[in-house]
Amino acid sequence: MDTAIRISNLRKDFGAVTVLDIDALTIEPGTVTAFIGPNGAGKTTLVKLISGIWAPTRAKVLTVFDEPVDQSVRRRSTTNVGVVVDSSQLFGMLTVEENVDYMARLYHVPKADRAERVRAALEACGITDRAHDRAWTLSTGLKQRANIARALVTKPRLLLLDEPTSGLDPVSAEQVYDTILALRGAGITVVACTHIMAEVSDLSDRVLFINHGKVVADGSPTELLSHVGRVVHTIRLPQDRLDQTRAQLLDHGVKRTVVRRDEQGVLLTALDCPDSRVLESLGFDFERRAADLRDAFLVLAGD
Amino acid sequence: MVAQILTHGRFAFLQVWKDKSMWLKVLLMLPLAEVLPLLLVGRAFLSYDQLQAFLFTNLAWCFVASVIMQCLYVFQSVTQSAKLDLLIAADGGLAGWVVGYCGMTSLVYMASAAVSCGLLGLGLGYPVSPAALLVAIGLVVPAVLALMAVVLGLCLRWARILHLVNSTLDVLQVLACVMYPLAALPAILRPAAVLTPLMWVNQYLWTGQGWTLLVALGLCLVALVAAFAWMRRCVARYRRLGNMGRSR
Repeated sequence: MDTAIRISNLRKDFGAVTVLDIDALTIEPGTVTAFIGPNGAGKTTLVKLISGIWAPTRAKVLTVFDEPVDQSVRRRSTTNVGVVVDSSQLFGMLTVEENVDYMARLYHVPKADRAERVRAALEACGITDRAHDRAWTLSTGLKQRANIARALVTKPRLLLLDEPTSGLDPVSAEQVYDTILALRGAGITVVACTHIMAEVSDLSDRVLFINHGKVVADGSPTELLSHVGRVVHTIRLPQDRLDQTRAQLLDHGVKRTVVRRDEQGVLLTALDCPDSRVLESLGFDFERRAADLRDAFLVLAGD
Repeated sequence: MVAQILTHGRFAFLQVWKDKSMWLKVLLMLPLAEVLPLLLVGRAFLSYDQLQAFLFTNLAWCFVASVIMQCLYVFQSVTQSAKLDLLIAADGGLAGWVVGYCGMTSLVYMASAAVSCGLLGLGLGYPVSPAALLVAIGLVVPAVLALMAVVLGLCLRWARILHLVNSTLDVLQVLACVMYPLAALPAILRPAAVLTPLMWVNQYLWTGQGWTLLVALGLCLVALVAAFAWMRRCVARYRRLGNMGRSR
């Protein structure tokens, strides 16, 4: 079976700055993989390199379903890659159906199949009832679903989503999630860049944490949690006690903490402290909860 | 490539067709704008012989300016949104889109020129030759395509350049000898004017000399090749560097 994405010695520089440097990476077909990481980590750059929109500075191997990613042959490629960025990819004056049809024609979908493929793409995204509405009249969530339909009409084997639910309310986001899950069920390989941990835990088979252009962590959502343990403790304290508290925790073997500030003071989250008695013995008033991917994100981002 | 161009043209037309304000502009506002200068300025300062030529040079210029302004507006929308990457990913470049979109826009504005010609001829009694107008506008279209390819390349190269290009239309109008023949242009400007395809089309309209059309055609072909080579280079640069100007 083909490998969906295969990367070896991939590098992208912008001037003197290396924004992406990946030694090796493979993504298997039919899976949903999330690229997560802080802003500027290189997630979008990686998506644009895989899609062929941008050219790498260096790439020993960069293939999609064993076909080299090369802009000059992209049009003639039989392995279509769909890219969904945001609703600005839609032409507002055109209807949803026309937007999808536009892409079908650009990607040389045979005339005999075009109408059916457009219909199927709209149906897959649950937007058939809005097919004849102009794109600019749709809500943000519906626009994004229309955008996904636009990408699906070419029957891509790989679908790249760059923050697919950015700016969407929870209901709209849920509708997009349902669409993505349906795509996985249909055997399409999905790669999604996201900051939303709910998307990562609910949708993804695999998570790649990218920071400073490198893959820092790679595993299932559950495996990613191993970076923070099973439980975390959160202590609220005034700003002037922060350094003292951290020093006390460090003396008791609690090396990793995350600090957040709000109008009430400081929230200190202790990450590698499975035993609450340590904090009790220090007299802290704390809250204990199960670790989640947001904690893993903060640790891996080096916050 | 032909299929891509036709597809882009088709959907460019659909976007125009659906925009009612666009048709108001093309069929009413623009013809009025094209006819009024003739009535207000031409009669006062041009002789009858010059008036007839100015009628057509003015129409040709209005056509050029309208197409350029419309394309600039859309270029701004495309380059400042995810449509740019969408088009590059679909076509492997932007040439097909530029030709398709700008070509269709040219056809739409030809309708405007036709209405203006009709207004001048039938409504106001001026002697008009639709054939001469079609020749003039037809030869101008490749030059407009070349200019828009240059503009898009500039935009990819330096970003935020569209307002600057907008203001250079005034310079182009002078060099194109819209309101006067080449002989009336100051000597210092003539070398630049000689390189302007639209100037040679207007020279034909001013003087009736057929060879000027051949020069215009030759310059248009050279401009097309050079302009699209430039744009292709700028697209390759954008894909290599990932930015337009200094922004990504």
